[in-house]
Amino acid sequence: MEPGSVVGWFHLPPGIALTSLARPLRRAGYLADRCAISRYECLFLETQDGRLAKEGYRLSVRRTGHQPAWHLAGPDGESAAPFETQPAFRSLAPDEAGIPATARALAGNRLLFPLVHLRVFAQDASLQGPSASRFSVRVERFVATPPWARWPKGAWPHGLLTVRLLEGDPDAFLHFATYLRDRLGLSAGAGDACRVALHALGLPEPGVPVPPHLRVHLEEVLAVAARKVVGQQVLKMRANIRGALEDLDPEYLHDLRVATRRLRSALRLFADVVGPRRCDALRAELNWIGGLSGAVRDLDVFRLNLQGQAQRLAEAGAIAGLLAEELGRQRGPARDALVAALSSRRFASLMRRLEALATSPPPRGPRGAQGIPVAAAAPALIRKAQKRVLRLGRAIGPDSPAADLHRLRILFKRLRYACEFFSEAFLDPVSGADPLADYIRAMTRFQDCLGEHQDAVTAMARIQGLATEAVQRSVLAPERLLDLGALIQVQREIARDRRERLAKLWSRFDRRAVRKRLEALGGETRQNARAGDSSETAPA
Amino acid sequence: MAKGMAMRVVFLSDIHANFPALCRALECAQRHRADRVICAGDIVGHGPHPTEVVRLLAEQKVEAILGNVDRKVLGLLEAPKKLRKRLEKKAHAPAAWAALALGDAERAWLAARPRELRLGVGEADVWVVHGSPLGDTDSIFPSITAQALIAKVGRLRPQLLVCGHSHIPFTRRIAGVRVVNCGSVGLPVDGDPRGALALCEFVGQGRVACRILRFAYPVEPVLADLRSRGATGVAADAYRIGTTTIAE
Repeated sequence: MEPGSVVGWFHLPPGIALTSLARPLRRAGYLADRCAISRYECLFLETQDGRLAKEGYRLSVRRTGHQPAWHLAGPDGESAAPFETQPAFRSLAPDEAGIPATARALAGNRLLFPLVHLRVFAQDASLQGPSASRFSVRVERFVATPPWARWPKGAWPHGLLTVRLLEGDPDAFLHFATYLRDRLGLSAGAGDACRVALHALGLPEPGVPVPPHLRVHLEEVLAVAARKVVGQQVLKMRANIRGALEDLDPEYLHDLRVATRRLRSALRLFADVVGPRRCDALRAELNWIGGLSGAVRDLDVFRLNLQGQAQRLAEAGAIAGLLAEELGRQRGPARDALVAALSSRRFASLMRRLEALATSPPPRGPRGAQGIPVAAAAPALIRKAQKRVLRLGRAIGPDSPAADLHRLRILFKRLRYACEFFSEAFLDPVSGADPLADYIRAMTRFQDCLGEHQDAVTAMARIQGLATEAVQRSVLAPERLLDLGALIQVQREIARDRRERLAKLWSRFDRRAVRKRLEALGGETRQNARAGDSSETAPA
Repeated sequence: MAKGMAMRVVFLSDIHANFPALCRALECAQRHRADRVICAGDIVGHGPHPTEVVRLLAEQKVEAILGNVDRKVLGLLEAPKKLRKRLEKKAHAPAAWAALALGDAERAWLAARPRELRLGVGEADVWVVHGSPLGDTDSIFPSITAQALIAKVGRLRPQLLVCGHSHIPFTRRIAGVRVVNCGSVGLPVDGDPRGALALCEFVGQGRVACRILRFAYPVEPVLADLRSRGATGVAADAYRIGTTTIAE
């Protein structure tokens, strides 16, 4: 571990400044040098999937005086660059002038969105530890607001102490953190100022892993695990609603749709645990919102695919442009319906009901499946889903109808979601190895292939429908019909190619070794759980 | 201490490198307006925070004596090359881990502690030992008889005898001597997981009023630090339920 990468955050209660911390620390042997004071406003930016934060970086536009500047903080230190963009922006492409090269590389082709706005009063100092160690200490007092809102009035409510080990052993950092926690009574912070502000404002942080209180554990009963899985997906839905409403990035809508689909799958899987009537009612509502989001998303995907294919077929470029125009026309009403739905009281009520389910206490005396621990219940649930996939998958041949392949795709999704709901619980606590990872990977490949096949089949029907409509409205010249034929031929070739690939991918999935590993999963984990229990209670 | 007021002294013992417990113990002493704090040994060993505990005692200028575990840690430090090997042996592992964790300044502070303290508080003669006057591995339990105490104390009869080591707190007057066992700050074994200390009020003319105080402290950070720092020797349940056989 590099000394610079050892960072700790602590909440600072109101009224505590660096000077008031320095006195008790000096008595314990930590000597602070002169502190530097700064005051600035900053606007944090991030991609929809939180790519920068995942690598430990924070990109912001920082304004100390009149001149704003790009500011990038990360594991390799901090850097600044002049800000040359228009001050008011909804989103920025990463190739915008002035964005630091590291941030540009990390963002890839994804847009950057404003996350949260902060006004900060900061004090920086370095501390000399008693055991040949040196720390940098930063005290921040700040007020935060969402990028679209005004600054709140009143005192600056948030305080954060950031400690970074500059020189010395990581043990020295542990000693210092223990001192701050137990002697000065500072509680550990959730993260940097951006994260603290997002938590305080109740805004979702893009791409964050599942919070600890929603992680599924092997030893807990299914009634608890089911509520946690629902909670995870509700959180993901919440994180993408605003982006989908404002049409910031197609990925917001995609993630919202996936979370809706996973929730439906979870409610089907845990119907016996949560209550079949409740699950059916919620699934019906999720079907409604899933259908509306699916309508917009399918058009987006079709348009993207069409653009890619038109680039390969030079002669079909014109017709692809025409079709894209037609799709854009269709997208408008579909998106309006989605926006109306997402802003409706019906949707708000659905979210409230889902959150009530996720936070409801499990029954006191769990009955039947409710009381079975995840270690025993999860393998059985996965095996049940797997059996359905195998039954249909083995019956499918090269000439099976597309409807059968679509049905297989749906069953595959249910199996994959079931595995993903529990995969974290089965992680090896020591090595971090995921026993379901290979299985999920094999499934994903097969499912992707099925998805591409289904997209091609749907695209063929859609192009034909669009062509008919265009001819009826006389907006398509007859000579362009050949180009349409070329596009349909491309879809047909894609569908044929994916069908040919399926047999090979199925052979990778339907293997004795894979099935055996899944069967062993329940036994191994039960044994591990039992061994874990006995080691906990055994006297040292 | 204001003139005419009783002097209050807090005696604590067997911290066993439990920093959160020591912090709460010192807060408890402050709350009871203690004029002095004296530690009766076993400062380090078994717990995850030897460095922090020594630094805090030094910072707060707490008078302290050595316990048997502290002596063992200092003994191991005389042969530093063997420390890594000692970590593998169950009997020596907790002390060896503490020895490795301590910095030079902390070692020097610990090595400068005496084995026992004789002091006069007000008009009372106070004798502070870790186990008993016979040695730091001998124990004084609540069931001790007058005869046994006389055998341990010998001809010297202080007004107050303060000890620790057994991790079982009590205060009794036996054979004319007020005996106080402070229990343990960081690793109680009497079935009460809260830390223990003794508050003695010297009211003048050699008279002493003593009572045992219990204080709660956050156990989970200690267990988390035990795991993250790799300290060995005590089952996690000992901290949660307050029973184990720790005294060596």
